[in-house]
Amino acid sequence: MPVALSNLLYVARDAMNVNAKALDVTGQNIANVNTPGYARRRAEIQARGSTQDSYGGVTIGGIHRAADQLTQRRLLDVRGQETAAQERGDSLAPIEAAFNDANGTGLAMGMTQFFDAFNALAAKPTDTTARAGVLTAAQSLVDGFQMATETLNTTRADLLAKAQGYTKQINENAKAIAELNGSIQSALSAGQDASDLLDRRDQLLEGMSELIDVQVATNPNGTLMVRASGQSLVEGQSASTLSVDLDAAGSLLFKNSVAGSTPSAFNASAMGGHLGGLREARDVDMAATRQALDTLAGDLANAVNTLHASGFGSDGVTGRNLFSFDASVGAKSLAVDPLLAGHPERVATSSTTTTGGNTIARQLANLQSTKSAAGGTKTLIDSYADLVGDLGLRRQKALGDADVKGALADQVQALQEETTGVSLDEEMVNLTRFQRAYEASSKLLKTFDELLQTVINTK
Amino acid sequence: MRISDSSRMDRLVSTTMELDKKIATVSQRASSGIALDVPSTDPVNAAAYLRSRGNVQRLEGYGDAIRDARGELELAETSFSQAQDIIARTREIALSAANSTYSAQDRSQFAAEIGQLREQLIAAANQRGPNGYLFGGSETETPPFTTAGVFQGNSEARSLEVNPSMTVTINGSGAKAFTSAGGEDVFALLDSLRVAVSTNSSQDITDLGKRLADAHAQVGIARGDVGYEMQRVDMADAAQANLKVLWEKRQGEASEIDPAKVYSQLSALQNTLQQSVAAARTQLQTLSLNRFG
Repeated sequence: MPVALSNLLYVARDAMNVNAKALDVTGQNIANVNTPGYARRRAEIQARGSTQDSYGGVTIGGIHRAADQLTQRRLLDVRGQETAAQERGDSLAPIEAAFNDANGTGLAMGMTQFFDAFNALAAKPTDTTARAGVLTAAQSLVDGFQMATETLNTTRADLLAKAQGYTKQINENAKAIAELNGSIQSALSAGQDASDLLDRRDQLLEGMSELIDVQVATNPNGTLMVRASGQSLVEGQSASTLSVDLDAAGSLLFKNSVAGSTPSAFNASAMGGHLGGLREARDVDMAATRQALDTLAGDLANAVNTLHASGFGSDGVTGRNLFSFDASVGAKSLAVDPLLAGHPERVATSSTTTTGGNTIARQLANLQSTKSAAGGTKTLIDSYADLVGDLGLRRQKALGDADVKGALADQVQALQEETTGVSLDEEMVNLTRFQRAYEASSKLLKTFDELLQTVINTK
Repeated sequence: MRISDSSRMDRLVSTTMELDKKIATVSQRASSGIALDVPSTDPVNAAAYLRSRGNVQRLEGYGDAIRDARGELELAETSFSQAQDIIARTREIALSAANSTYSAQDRSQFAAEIGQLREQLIAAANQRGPNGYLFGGSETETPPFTTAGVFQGNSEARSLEVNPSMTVTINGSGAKAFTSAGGEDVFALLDSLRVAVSTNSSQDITDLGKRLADAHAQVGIARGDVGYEMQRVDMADAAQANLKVLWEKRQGEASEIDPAKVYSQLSALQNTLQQSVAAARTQLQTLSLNRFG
């Protein structure tokens, strides 16, 4: 079968084009070795079959973008769990610092000093300084409760603002993903390379998974459907808007609206990512600490007031409370009773009107070791120790989870990198390979030229 | 298995950072001596630390109560001892005055001395401590006895907690020591004796002398009560010291580092970091040589 000499020209030309393109792809990979979200590309080099209608040679079937959807989805999942645990642990840090008695903060010292003041008063019931000392210690203890409550309130308010920041980021990401969905759909339907768009979308998706748990499904047209906690965030080219505010109880209330529709409640109970961790810390952990603090303040006020009201001040008057406390408000309402503030003579020490009696002062001092908290099952300091221990356990669990999930996420990330990451070793080899192939193609062209010259000279 | 460059670099960085973080934590513990940086480091020990520290501080409070109780009881003991000496001297006078050979002038001198001793006894019974009068019960701001020897205090015991299960009475009972509540009204007895000595009523003097022996014993009983309370204070003091050592030890165990363990951890981590950095350097050198060498 005769072979047209010109075919060799076209084969050489295509080979040079293909290898140049492959070198270009390799160059792109090398250039993007450190680009976050970049998935390595590979030129799909295919042999073109030599037929009666074709001179054969080589062609590029397309640019393959290395991606592993299964691993990517798994990574989105565990990364969301890691950030949720980390956010929970970080959010609890200021609260833990407010109850860190080993470092001098917390209520233990104030409680001990308060009872010590009554101990000193029991020894010197007629001493005005010892009476004033009780009021000073009571005020210090109240200040401790107020400070702890304030830290809880401030942190919870900060976390609301942070949650609003996160939802804003989520909305921006959702909108960008929806827009990219449109661009990717157009590119794919036009047969264009959408790798850069896909990189960008995957990167947004990873960022989003750190903010909130996301479940992803890919539509046949290349668009993504993104859901969080079972509710839609992105549907094709349409993104919904997430918002957060407070409900009547002061907990975070999430709402979701699609394209201007009326916002509907967004179930946040199983929410992950930063937003989920923040919600857990704010509305579960801190709420529990707040509840325990309120109960402790109430137990303290009740136990002290019951005894105090049964005793007599040095002014011979009985029936007065030492603390004022409103159970419906909680620890924030704890205060030295206004009737006693600035009046040491009104501090009750005696069970009778005699000034030197110390029975009540002694019983009040002894409250320190009396089971007067948690329905009479614990001492006040034990109840406080439980509060601190519970808070510590919650944060320890969060940080432990963050470590475990972080290690798991790193493993999955490494697995994903095996597929999508750029290896310079590999690219250096490819560089040489395609360079040599290009050189050989040039040689082929030169050979064709020499052959053609031979033919021309023969004539 | 493909290893991408970013994965390789990330691993080098994360390993080093993780080791740095651990070294910072352990160094902090080694330098501060405190194992509980925050409650979440060891929540169980954090709660145990609070309970132990609460107990230590409570025992320190008992230490103050023990000092106060001991001070008041020692003063009461001394006052009762003085009162017994006064009664003993009065009884000696009664024994001498019962002898009818003394002249009227001698008896007048005896009566005068009895009057002085009575004043001294009033002073002893009205002894003040750092927290008011000792023998008036809870009435600490008013002298327990008037100059006429009338008791104006009460029988309320003033007490202090000196350990979790022990309360001690810190005031001796003036009523029990000096009034008919204890058997004899001592001041009335001295008044009667002074009259009997002045009038040379031998039989009365003899009878009153015998009753003075009872009064002496009566004050002795009150003094014994004070001594008993002092013994209890001493017992509480010893128990408090032992308990405090125990709770301080537990507090230390819950919150303080084990130096040997922490320094060994620190040393091991530093070695690991050095090895990790050396391995990273080797990797980077090898990569550079292979690609650009």
